[in-house]
This record gives sequence, C-alpha cells and structure tokens, in this order.
Amino acid sequence: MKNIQTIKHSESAAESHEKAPFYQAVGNELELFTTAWQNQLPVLLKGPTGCGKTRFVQHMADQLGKKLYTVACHEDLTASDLIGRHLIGDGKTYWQDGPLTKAVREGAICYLDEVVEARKDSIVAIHPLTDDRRILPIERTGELLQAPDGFMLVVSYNPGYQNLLKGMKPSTRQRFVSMRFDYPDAELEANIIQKESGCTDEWANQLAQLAQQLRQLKDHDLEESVSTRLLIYAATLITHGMPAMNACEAAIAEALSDDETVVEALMQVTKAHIG
Amino acid sequence: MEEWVGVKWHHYITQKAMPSFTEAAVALDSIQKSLAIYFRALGGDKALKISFTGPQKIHSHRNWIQKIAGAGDRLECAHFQRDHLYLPEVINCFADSENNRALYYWLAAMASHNQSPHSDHLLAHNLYLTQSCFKQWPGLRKSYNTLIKKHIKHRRDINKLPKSLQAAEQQLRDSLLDLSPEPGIPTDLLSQLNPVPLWLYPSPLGASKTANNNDQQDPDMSAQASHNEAKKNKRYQAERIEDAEKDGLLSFRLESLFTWSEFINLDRSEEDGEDEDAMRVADDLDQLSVSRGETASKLKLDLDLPSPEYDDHIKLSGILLPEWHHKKQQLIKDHCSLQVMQIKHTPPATWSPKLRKTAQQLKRQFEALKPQRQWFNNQSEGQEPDLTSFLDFMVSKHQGSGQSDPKLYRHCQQSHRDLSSLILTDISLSTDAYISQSQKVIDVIKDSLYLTSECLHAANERFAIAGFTSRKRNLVRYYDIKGFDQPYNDDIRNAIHAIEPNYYTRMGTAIRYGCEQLNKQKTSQKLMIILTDGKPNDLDHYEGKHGLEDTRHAIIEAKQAGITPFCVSIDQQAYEYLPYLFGSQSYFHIKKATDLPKKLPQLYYQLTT
Repeated sequence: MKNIQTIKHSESAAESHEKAPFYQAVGNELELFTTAWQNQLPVLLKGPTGCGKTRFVQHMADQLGKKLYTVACHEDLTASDLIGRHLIGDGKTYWQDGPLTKAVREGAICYLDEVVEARKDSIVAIHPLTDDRRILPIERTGELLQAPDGFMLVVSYNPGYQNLLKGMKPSTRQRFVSMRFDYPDAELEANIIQKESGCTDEWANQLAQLAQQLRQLKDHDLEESVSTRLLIYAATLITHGMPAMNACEAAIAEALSDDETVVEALMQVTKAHIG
Repeated sequence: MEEWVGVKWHHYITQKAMPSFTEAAVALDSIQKSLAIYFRALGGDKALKISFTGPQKIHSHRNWIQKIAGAGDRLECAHFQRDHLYLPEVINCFADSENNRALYYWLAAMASHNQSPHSDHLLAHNLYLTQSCFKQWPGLRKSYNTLIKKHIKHRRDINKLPKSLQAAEQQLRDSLLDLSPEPGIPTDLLSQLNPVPLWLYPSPLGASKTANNNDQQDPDMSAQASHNEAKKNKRYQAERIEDAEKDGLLSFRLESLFTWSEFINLDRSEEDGEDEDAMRVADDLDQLSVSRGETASKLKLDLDLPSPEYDDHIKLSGILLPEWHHKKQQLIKDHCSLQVMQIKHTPPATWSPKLRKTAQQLKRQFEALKPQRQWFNNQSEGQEPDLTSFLDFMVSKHQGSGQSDPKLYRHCQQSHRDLSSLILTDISLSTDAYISQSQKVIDVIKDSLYLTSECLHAANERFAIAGFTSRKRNLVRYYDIKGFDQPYNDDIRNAIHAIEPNYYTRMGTAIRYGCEQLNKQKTSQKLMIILTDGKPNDLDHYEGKHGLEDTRHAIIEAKQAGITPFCVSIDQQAYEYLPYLFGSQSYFHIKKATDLPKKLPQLYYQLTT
C-alpha cells in the first residue's frame, strides 16, 4: 500500500500499557478526547509541526484500548488509498480494504495526519462518516458500511502553514470537534524531552530553555519555530555521545533554516546556552 | 615625497600609540544579519536596528605617544540611541578574528537586556548586565572570561599610569575578573581609565538634544540617499564641551603656520546643489549641529492631471464598471470609468546587487515549481496499461456492470500548474511616503514586484502585474505592467522600475477589472494578490464605510467567480479592517514594510504549493 503508514497496537489494553506511548498532558485534552470518543464525535487536532499531535492520538488509542490506523496525507493520496482497491491473487481478483475501511469495520480509530495536504476530492470520502449517519459507501464493492460505536475519525493539520489553494474548507472543518495544540511551557517540555530521550534533567532543561529563546524568532526570522520533536532528536544525539554543539547544529539549527547566516545566529544562541 | 613621508609617519605613530590587529579585524557588515537574529533570539527589542557608530570623544588618560599621534581621544562605544543599537564599525581589539567576532556577539547579548547604562553607574550597571548574561546564558561565561583576560593584557601598564589612577585601574581589573562592583570607582576617575570594549556605554551627551525630523520628513532630503544604507545609519556625535581642550601637544611653532587668500570666481548657484563631500566632512567633524524643523520655506505645488505630453499612454478608455452602494444595498451599474494605462517612459532599470543576489537565491527555490513529467492514471489512451483501472474494469465486468468506455491506460506528460496569478498593487500617492531614511513605500513595492516576477518567471508560472490608482469615479487608472501572455523580459523590469505614485485608491473598481482579466484565463485556479499600504479612499466620498463596503463587495464578487483574493498590507492598522474585507485567512500583514520584498515571493510560494 503506497505511502500509507499503519500503526497497530495490541488489542490487549493491559499488555499495551507496559509500552504505552508517553504523552504529557498540558490541559484537559485527555478528558475532551475521551468524551468525544464516547459520544462518536470526530476530532480535529490543529497545531504546529512536532508539538505532539500524533503522539497524543497514539496515546489516546492506547488508553482507550483501540487499534489505530494512521494515514500520512499527501497530494497524491486518492480515495482508493483510503477506502481500498481490487488486487490480483491466485488467478483472480479480490478486494482489499484501505485503512479507513479497516478502521470502520473494526471499530478502530482512523487518524488522517496533515489532512489539508490531501486533494479535496479524496477528503470528500470522509464526509458521510463525520455526520450523524456515520456511514462509508464503497462504490466498487457496492457496500454501505455503518460505523460501529467504537469507530472514531481524527484528522490533524497545521494552521500556521497558510495555503490558499489547499486549505481546509470551512464546511469540512465544521464537521469536527477541534482541539488546539501548542508547544508546552519550558518545565513540561523539559519533562517530555527527558522522558523521550532518556537524557539528564540538566540537558532537558537546557534544551527547553534554548527552545524558548528560539521561538521568539518565529514569523520574524524563522518560518517555523523549533519543535519538541527536534529537541528530542538533539537530546537523543547528546545522550548517545555526540558533542552537544554538533547535536544541536544537526538537529536544531540546520533543521530550521538553509540560510547560513541564520544557522550561524542559531548556533551562537545555542553556544550562549550550553557553552 | 613629503606627503608620502607624512602618511608613513601617521601610520607608524598611530599603530605605536594605539596597537590594533588589522589582519584579524571583523567588520560589523560581515556579521550584521546573524548578529541581529542572535540579538532578537536572546530577547532584544525586535524594533531596534543594529548599525555602526561614529567615534565619540572620550576623556581617558593618554600617554605622550598618543598625544603626538592625536590618538586615544575617541572610541566607537556600543550604546543605544532611540531605535538603534550602535556597535563599532570594525572590531580589531584582539589578535584572533574569532575573539573579535565573539566580542560582537557578547555586546549583542549585553544589549539584549534592552538597558542603557547610566553614566554615574557605568561600572555597577555593566557588571550587573554581565551577571544577568551569565545567569540567563551560562555558555557566555567562557567567552567572557577569554575576552576579558585578553583585554586586560592589552590595557596600559598600571605602572605607566599616573599615581592617581593606578589604584582605580587595579580595582577596575579586579572587578572585571570577579564581577564585584564594590568598592565603587568614582565616576571622574573611571572616565580617565581606558574604556572597556566589552561594556555598553550611555547614549552620548547631548544626543537627546538632537532634533528628530523623521515625523516631518522632507522629500528633498532624498538627494543624500545615494550613500549606502550603512553609512546613512551611522551616528554622529552632538556634544557640548564645557572646557577648552588642553590635553594635546603642539609639535610645530605657530608662527611658522602661513595662510593665504586670493580672489576666486565662484559660481554660487552651484552651492545649492548636493554636497557630495557631506558624508566625508561629517566623518571629520567631532560634532554635528542639528536644527529642529525646516530651515527654509518651500513652495509646494499639488499638480492636477499632467499635460498629455507628460502623461502615460492610454491603451483603453471608457471601460464602465459598477460600484456597490451599501446604503441602498445595490450595485450601481456603470458608476466608474476605468482607463487601461501603459507607463510612457521606461528608462533602463538598475536593481541593487543585494536585490539581484536575493533573486538568485529565491529562484532556486521556485524552480521546484517548474513543470515536471508526471504519470496520469485512468486515461483513455497512453503509453502503458493501468493495472488498477484494468482490475476495476474486470471486476465490474465480472459483476455484470462493465463500463462502455473503460479508461485503462497510463499516460506520461508534462504536468503543469493549473494556476494564473494577478499581482495587483496600489500605486496611490500614499506610497510616496518614506518608510526609512532612504526608501519610500513605492520603492519597496517595486523591489517586491521585481523579486516576485523573477521567481515566478523562473518557475514558469502564469502571472500578470498591474497597478491601480484613481481620481474620482470617472478616472480610475489600471496600469497594465505585465499581461498574462506577455513574456517577462527587460521591458517589464524597466516598467516595474518606472512606476510612479499618483492620486488615490479606488480599490473596488480595480479589483473588478482585475477579476475580468483573470476570468479570461483558462486555468482552473485563479489567484489575485493585492498589495496595499492603507484603506481604500478617493476624493468623491469613496472613503470610510463606503470605500470599505465597495471593496468588500468586489472581493465577494471575485470569490463567487472562483477567484482567490489575498491581500498583503503594510498598513499598521490593517488588522482593524482587513479581516472584514478579505476574511481571517486571506490577508497577511507585514509589520516591517522593508521586509515586503523578501516576504512576498515566500508568501506566494507558501500559498500555492
């Protein structure tokens, strides 16, 4: 299945708790998501790159004991990629469900990441699932699937990335309960970095403080500010023996800009923090 | 020969008096951009600009060699002044360029606290700022220790200082190393010691008495705009000297100084011309006197329409367009008359090297938008069979519902972006306003159009450029700078450069005509980017609510016609009315107008990829 990443968690909630994806709650997002799931409401997550949207969904699927199907959307994604297609096998053709269809059949969670990247005609396929009908018509097999109560549709996008020709239509946005995500404050972020990378508290704090400084440059000198994900990368490199400045250059400065003068400035800020 | 010896002597004695490391010198120009980003990242005031400062008078004790050389009485100190952070133009204090560069970053870190030290607490305040830097950015401690130790080595030998200064010098060195401000050094003694290049200094004395004429900008001052940007932002000192200077050495006999005069026939009318040496003279002066307000009365003429021989070409006229009357809630048919214009004089344009370099950088990014070969599935004919379509067809046939016209092939062809873009810019008289010492709004708009055009041309995008201005409803002018089918070449570049601001801003009418042009395009996606510096306005009541409502209605009409309007504004109040006109997602406010040239191509890229 091209370009589709499917993450499957163990059906057994007890077993999965041992290796549950770590997520640090910032507000009441856990309760909100759980309530939405209990009431069969679709959810839209919006927030900047690398702030923890995907991890949140993984965490919630684990907490609710649901299987999760994740689709990374892109401009070549077709409705067939979501719903399914016919394949050849043993001299005959057979139908294979796409991740959306599988999620509906199994009453699982289907997560469409960066949904605005997909073509509008592909996204139309999800509309019947987002209203009170909760159905999925499959034209090619003639089926009409009724989503069970356990099924949930979650989509995400980054509102900071304005694209007129690819934005989310208001009519689509209005079908979801929306949750806004942002980077956590320094203390929480340090905790996340430490838990994710296994680095020392000192490094986690230093990187979280560095991020606070670099985020002041958003919209002025940088298009996107440094994400929690990048900080975790840097911490991971440091933990595994890379010199801190080299780790920050590769995981932060070079990741944020191609402009050498900007990279130089970011490295000087890093040097001011970690020496 | 005499002159040659003089120059050699000057260089020798100056180097002897004030040792510096020319080979390791670092110029502010070379790291200014990085330094500004660094300053902002550490929390420095984003509205401040970093520039270099002229040397200021200092009163530190000089040895006899310095007195002979006439050196050591001036220094370029880091300091704040209004909306600028002034740093030395060149730093050559250390033998290693890395340390000279580190000193610039250290000064930027000190300045990022946005505090200007008071002259009576120079030592205590700088030590406080230093400790604050260490507290916030521990990594700077190492850099400071390296720089301060090297600096102390370069300071004058304590034993060669007058007895009255030796204790103070020792105390200063101790304070610099252990960061203890106690016991304090009296201000008069501290001012006689060698300055510390790692410190921020107070704003020069008397600077507060200089007049700020920014709010009454004289357009004729633009004659001096031929100097480069950095030079223009250089600060000069305005200082009131209390005592006559007695700290010098005359190495010649006054009676041997001859003077002469003779009659020279001067053309005094030339003195009204631009003084090309003004900047050089300013460099040589210790202080500049700045007067407040205008120095002479000027006769200002507000011209009506230009005579035909000076006016631009009218390509088309009498195009009638409607206008929205919000009180009647109806579109008044044929209310406005529009002329399509062409700029008459388009002399060869010269764009700044910096702008051309930026264009080259941006072009590389935009080349990614160039059409590429792409496979299209589900075609009636093509180079290869489409397996997926074939399977679907076979299954349908098996189920007894076969299509009569199956599309079973894949076809490879050049993909093309199905998009036409019109950049519609406001060229009303308000764009003639200055936004900096050297640039008007219209200059920024021209640079933006040039950069964006270069990028879109590199990406083979289909685009048009137009400007609009108006003088009441019967004279709306639409400058057709580049049509959709016109090739982008030097003629277009020259036309962009030749744009002149005029009249008012009847935005709704221009948007409607722009829509007509876009509607003629066969592409499925149509984008209209509107550049403006303010609200719609015209002489005949086209202002306030009426102008806004008409513009809003024109935008609604555009959206209904399948056009995507997007506004880019540099108006400080843009957020008050643009969401109402364009919707919350369809406008972008650029806080700093001078950022527009670089932002516009990036914005286009972001909006369309």
